[in-house]
Amino acid sequence: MGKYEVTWDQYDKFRQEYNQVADEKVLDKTSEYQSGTSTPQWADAVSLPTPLWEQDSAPILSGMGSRGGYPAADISQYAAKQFTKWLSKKTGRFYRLPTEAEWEYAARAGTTTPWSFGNDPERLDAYGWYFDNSFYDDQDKGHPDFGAGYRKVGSKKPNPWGLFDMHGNVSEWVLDAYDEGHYAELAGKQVSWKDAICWPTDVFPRVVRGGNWNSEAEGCRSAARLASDRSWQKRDPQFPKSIWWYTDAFHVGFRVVSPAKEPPEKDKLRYWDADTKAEINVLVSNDKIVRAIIDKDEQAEVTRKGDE
Amino acid sequence: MSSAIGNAPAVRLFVTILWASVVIPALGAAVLNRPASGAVRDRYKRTYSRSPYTHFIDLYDASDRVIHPSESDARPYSPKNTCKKCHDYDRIARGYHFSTDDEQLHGRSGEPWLWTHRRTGTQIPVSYRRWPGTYHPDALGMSTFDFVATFGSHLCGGPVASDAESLPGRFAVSGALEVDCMLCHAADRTYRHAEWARQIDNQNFAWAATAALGLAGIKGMARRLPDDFDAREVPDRGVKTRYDTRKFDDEGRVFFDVVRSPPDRACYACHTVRPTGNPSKWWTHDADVHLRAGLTCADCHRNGIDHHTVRGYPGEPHPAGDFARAFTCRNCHMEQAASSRGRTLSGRFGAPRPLHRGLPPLHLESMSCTACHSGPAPSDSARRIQTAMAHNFGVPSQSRDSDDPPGIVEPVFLRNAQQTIGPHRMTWPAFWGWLADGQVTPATPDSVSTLLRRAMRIRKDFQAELREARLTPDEKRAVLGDAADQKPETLTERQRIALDAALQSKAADAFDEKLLQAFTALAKQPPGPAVEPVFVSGGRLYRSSDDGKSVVAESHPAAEPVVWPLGHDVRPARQSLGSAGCTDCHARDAPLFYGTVTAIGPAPDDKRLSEPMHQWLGEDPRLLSAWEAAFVGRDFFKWVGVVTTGMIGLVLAAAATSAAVRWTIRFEHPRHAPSPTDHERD
Repeated sequence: MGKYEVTWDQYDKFRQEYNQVADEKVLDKTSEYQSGTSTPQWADAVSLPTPLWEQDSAPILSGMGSRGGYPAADISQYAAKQFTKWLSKKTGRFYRLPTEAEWEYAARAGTTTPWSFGNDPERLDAYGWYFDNSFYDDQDKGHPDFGAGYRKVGSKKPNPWGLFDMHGNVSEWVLDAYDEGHYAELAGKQVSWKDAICWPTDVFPRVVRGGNWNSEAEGCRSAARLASDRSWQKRDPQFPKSIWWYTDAFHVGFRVVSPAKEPPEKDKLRYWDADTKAEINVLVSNDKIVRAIIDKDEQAEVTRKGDE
Repeated sequence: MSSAIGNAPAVRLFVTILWASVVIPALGAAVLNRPASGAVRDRYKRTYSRSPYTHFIDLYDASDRVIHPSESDARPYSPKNTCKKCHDYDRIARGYHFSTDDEQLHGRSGEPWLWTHRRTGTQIPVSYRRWPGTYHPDALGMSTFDFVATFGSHLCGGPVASDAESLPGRFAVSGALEVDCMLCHAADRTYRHAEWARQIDNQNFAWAATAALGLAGIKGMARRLPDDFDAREVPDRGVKTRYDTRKFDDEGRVFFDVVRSPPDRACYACHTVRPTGNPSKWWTHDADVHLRAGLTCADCHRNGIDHHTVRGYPGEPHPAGDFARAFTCRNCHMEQAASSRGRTLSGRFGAPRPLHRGLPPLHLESMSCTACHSGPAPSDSARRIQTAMAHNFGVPSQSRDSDDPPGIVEPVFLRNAQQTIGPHRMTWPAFWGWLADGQVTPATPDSVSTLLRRAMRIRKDFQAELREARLTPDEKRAVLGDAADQKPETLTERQRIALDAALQSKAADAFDEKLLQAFTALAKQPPGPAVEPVFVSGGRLYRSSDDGKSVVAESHPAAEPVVWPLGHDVRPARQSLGSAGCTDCHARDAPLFYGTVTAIGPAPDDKRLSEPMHQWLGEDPRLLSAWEAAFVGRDFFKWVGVVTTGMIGLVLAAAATSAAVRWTIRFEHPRHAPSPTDHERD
């Protein structure tokens, strides 16, 4: 399990590389088009935020912070999964989002209390960023609408297993769909970890865990769940709405997990790729696929650091 | 004697010299100073042509140096130093849109600036003009810089922020916000108001005019620079201006596409008003009848070089006197307004003279023209609107909702100082404040937002979050019984009403609870002795009860609404009030008297002030009812009158005819008097 939430600095590497690949595709397609072998397909309206949304998001990111260790936020679960795919290809090691059960197991770190540090919500200030301590006195900082925001990852105490920001900062994507009664159905049964996953069939609702900078202390409990919602992309000016970006979810980020035992290659795609028809349609119509530019030396270096 | 005679030549000589020394210089001066054949000399060149001068001009920066666009350290152009070479900039900058210091010219109330802060539910009317109900920025502790940073997106610069060197604080970093002449006088559509607003938001005041006109790309934000930033010391960190050299000719001059009379779109940048609701229904909107007829805003709202734009209402204080007053509705359309020199000023642009057939003249005395002809036709309740100044129109956004503060409604019919009824726009102040000796002093949002956030758990929008009252399953079951598990769309009308009532009740309880928490928190940090925290909203003042256990709502002058008359859009005669008859107004359900005006502000619906229009007008509802009764069956009675009059006429005619016949018979066959002959016959 990742010690920290994935940061903008890390996520931007994925974006930049994706852009690079996208640019090459544009060049390819352009030359094909010019030579009369292809119809133009270089319009990219979906995978990255359009300038229309960037007008609105720029001041938000400016206030929230996007360099130097701030958690990546406001991205969809699909984008987070694609990041894990890219990271896996890049490093040669399998990464994916945690399942909901895995996440809670890691958050509790062997504890049974509401928070991994005990029962007293007053102590949350030392362990996480939440409603009571995420406010900025400086008007230029934080989300302009809220006057508050996330902080750099790892700036509070970790849980007993050394994981930072499991309570608060940004809520974290897990693989599961949100089903209020899912765990009640499994109660008392002996199931494998894979069977415990509530695999999504729709884009909404899916689960985010851990609470965030805008949550009350109760919302940051190890057991607290939050469901994703269409309102998170309310202001998206694109049509169809982006499957990569949300406009109103600056409280949602993610962290990655790398299982000790890798699944077979064919199973990996289930953890990475689009799992709804709506997402797949968008991808097919826009001819998108995540590519990683693999540098073996870099891969070895990353793997070594990861092992450390 | 001889001595006197002997001295006479000397006296004459003395008188002559004296005369010459006075008169000759005076004549000389008069001759020398005489303008050449009708020309008026001043320091500014003029073309005297109706055709606008084509402006290929040098640009000057704030230090009055010519701008060389290719220089890496080129600074933004200064409208003041560029335009003042040929125009009386100093005089222009004291015009109505820019000047705030001449109280004589403040005139009747206009739309104030509304200082809005969602998290604290604040909407404070602010103005440098002494308009009733508004707060002077100084009274709020709002610095000039804060004023410009807050409202600058729709502020066209001017004295309040134009002289950065004399202004304190961050103006040294942001630069001055000079009057940007091109904001109104750009002829083409390349002037970008949204860019102007963006630069103001970045606190790049001095760069706004350059960016909006598209002369240069601007990199950097002054708002990220420290107060003591000095670009000379750290040139790499400052805001950079990169001129588009394609816009400059070989001699470094730029083409300014200038139009003398501002186009309507320039006015709309700050004076757009729209009803809330579905924006796609805008196509149903009709423009002002004057615009439809081909007039422009500046045809009536015109100005001379002093830029005292005519507002166009009766009694307007204006330096141009009679001439400016000729642009009221009445003077253009009805009266033969004349200047002091006898020239008729009415009937401009061929303004038609209205017939007002059947309208008792009393109406023209007691109502303004706008009462029947301006704004939307009144309906059951005053409608909610948004304005460019209050809701930052011109800046693209997906985030505007109908409920966005500040809340403004129209039309509200009120009497003005002359007791004339006219339509107005109305808004209600909302703020946290301190009550001492009966006076309320607003607290600035900055000073209370941290405290209130913790106390009330408000995240983003006080008003919106008040409405988020949710019933627990048990509460829902208590209201709906077994139907509690049903989907909302399957509930009966009665169940829905019961559910709404329960939700409203819960919202009201939550409101009181939040207010008490806030009062408790604020009372711990009072700004002075013997002050009490209060909240003003929705036409009421809220304070903690004496025992501190409940919230008390009261009337207070600080909670009174702020109003300003509306003039547009003007509706044509056939859409005016009264065009369908007297009962447009004189009926039991006529919106003019019985439309409802409900205060808008962060408070539950049932706590906000809501009153019928006649109450705002000060009309006695019993007298109104009695008067309206006279209009019940008026058409029938008119026919009865006509028929009765006809019948009386017929009877009279019959009687007259009968009398005439009798008279004629009598005339032709007079009563036979005994003649002597007859007598003799007897």
